[in-house]
Amino acid sequence: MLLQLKNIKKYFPIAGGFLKAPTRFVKAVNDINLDILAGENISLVGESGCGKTTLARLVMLLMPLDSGSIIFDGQDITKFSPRELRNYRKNVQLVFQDPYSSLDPRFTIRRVMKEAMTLDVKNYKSESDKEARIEELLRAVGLKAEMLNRYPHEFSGGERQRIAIARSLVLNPKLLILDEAVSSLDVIIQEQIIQLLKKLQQDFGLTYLFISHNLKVVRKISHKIAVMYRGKIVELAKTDELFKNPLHPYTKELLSAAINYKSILRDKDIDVSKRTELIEKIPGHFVLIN
Amino acid sequence: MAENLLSIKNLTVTVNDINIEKKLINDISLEIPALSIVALVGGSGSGKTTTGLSILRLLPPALKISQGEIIFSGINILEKTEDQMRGLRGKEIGMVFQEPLVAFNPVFSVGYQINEVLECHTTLNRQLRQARILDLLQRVGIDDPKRVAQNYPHQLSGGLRQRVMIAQAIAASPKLIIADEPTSNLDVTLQAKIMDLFRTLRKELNLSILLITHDLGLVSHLADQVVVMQQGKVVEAGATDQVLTHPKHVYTQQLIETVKI
Ligand SMILES: Nc1ncnc2c1ncn2[C@@H]1O[C@H](COP(=O)(O)OP(=O)(O)OP(=O)(O)O)[C@@H](O)[C@H]1O
Ligand SMILES: Nc1ncnc2c1ncn2[C@@H]1O[C@H](COP(=O)(O)OP(=O)(O)OP(=O)(O)O)[C@@H](O)[C@H]1O
Ligand SMILES: [Mg+2]
Ligand SMILES: [Mg+2]
Repeated sequence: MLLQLKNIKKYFPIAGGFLKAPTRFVKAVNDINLDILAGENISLVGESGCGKTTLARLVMLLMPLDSGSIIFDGQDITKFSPRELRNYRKNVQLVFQDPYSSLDPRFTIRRVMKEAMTLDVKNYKSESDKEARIEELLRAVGLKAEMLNRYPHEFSGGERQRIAIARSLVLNPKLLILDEAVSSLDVIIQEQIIQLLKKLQQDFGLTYLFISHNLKVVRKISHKIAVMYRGKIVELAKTDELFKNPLHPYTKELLSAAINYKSILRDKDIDVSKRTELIEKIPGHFVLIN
Repeated sequence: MAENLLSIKNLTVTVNDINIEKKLINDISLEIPALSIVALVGGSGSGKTTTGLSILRLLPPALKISQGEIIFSGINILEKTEDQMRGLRGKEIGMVFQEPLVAFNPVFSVGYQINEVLECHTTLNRQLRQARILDLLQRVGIDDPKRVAQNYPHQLSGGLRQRVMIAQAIAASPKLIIADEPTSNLDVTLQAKIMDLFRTLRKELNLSILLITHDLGLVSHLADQVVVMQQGKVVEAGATDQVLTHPKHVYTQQLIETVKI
């Protein structure tokens, strides 16, 4: 087991007004359990605003959990010493949904990449080690070495997204979280990135948590899919099984929308607010039921 | 033939990259007939956003329009003063930016920012503006508009920000919307909702749309015409059915083939 999320929660207060204590919350991540095996490729899909990015940020320790625990390689990450934390940040990388905000505007891309390399002095001893690796990574995402002296704002949206992907690979992480990382790419580059990710998985056993709205890409790339809805995981199964045999009402809705390209009017609200549990309906296929 | 709402003629945009004059946009022409939805597709880095920003004259300082004309409603945009442009942006031409987080001001709530557009470009009073903001947010598929309006950009999810951006772009009922990857962070259900909204607005407001996207599914469902760009040039243009079923240029063929994998 590489990563284990145990009953994790994150609520955001909704401002009730001046001087008033908040009484309502956005339950962004509401009691989630999820196990990710080493070398596994798991996708997280679900409605806009259901809590996917929040989950990713929690795993990255970018904000504190309200409750629950996160276990990485057998250790509770919230109890890490500064040294262990540095090591963790090397092993787990996140490609942000908004690449712009994660690239320092004052640095050229060369500097951005080199900055990331300072965490790993063993692998990057000399300047030429660094340069060679930077060029290799840039090529892998379809960019050219001559772009290295440019600043983040001097690129197109899709190019920035690819720079963020290249940077996330600098430290050879064990777990890579990709948050809508191919959403701004044309299909040809998208395909190139998918092949790159597959190859890295084969060669180095990289583990992915892939967050995406693009079900076509998800289907191509993942072993397992977790479906999230209003802060909860409502279904979890192997990719083929999920597409063949969706069990939860939200999953059914999502998959049929993908086929018809139509917005669906819900005749009945799908309620997940009550005490619910993920039940293994069919071996390896879990669904949330009341 | 319908009159063109927008026509771009022989536009060239250059940048000085390490002392070499580079053409990011190389002599492109395109037309948007009134009431039509024109899709602009092409590879990452081919110049789509640059084309969109040229229309609003919002190019970063390093980029220069070195040649060409951009005619909107019979007037040449490139001859307008900056003051006149401010009157046009938001009011006549709405923009959905590719990266909403950058486009929004981080220190104001998103409701405040939509309100600014309404205050500048409509005669609605405060109360009506507030009702309009909530209505706009609901139209882009947000079920808790009050909460979202109060939030700052960083407190919203990627898809929420994208939809708020769309709400802001349509707030002052413009004649043209430039939508740069407007649904890249939305699930299929919401994508369909936004497409329905665009179709409805076209009827309601006589709106035209320049839809910049890499999603050929979206193009086939929404666009009347397609313009294909590659490395700063227009390589193919025509009616959507025609281009998608009988692509002429190799690059378009390649795009369509890749979608099928
Ligand atoms: N810092 C914050 N403060 C307040 N609310 C927040 C904050 N971060 C996220 N939220 C809210 O929590 C909910 C979940 O957001 P999150 O970004 O996790 O969604 P998501 O599943 O990634 O959606 P999308 O697919 O649109 O990116 C949203 O309603 C969002 O507005
Ligand atoms: N300041 C600059 N110096 C050099 N090149 C630049 C500069 N700004 C932009 N470019 C280049 O201009 C090209 C066109 O960029 P643009 O943002 O228009 O592409 P795009 O078609 O919108 O791509 P995407 O689909 O990735 O968003 C890109 O290759 C980009 O690298
Ligand atoms: Mg998100
Ligand atoms: Mg762009």
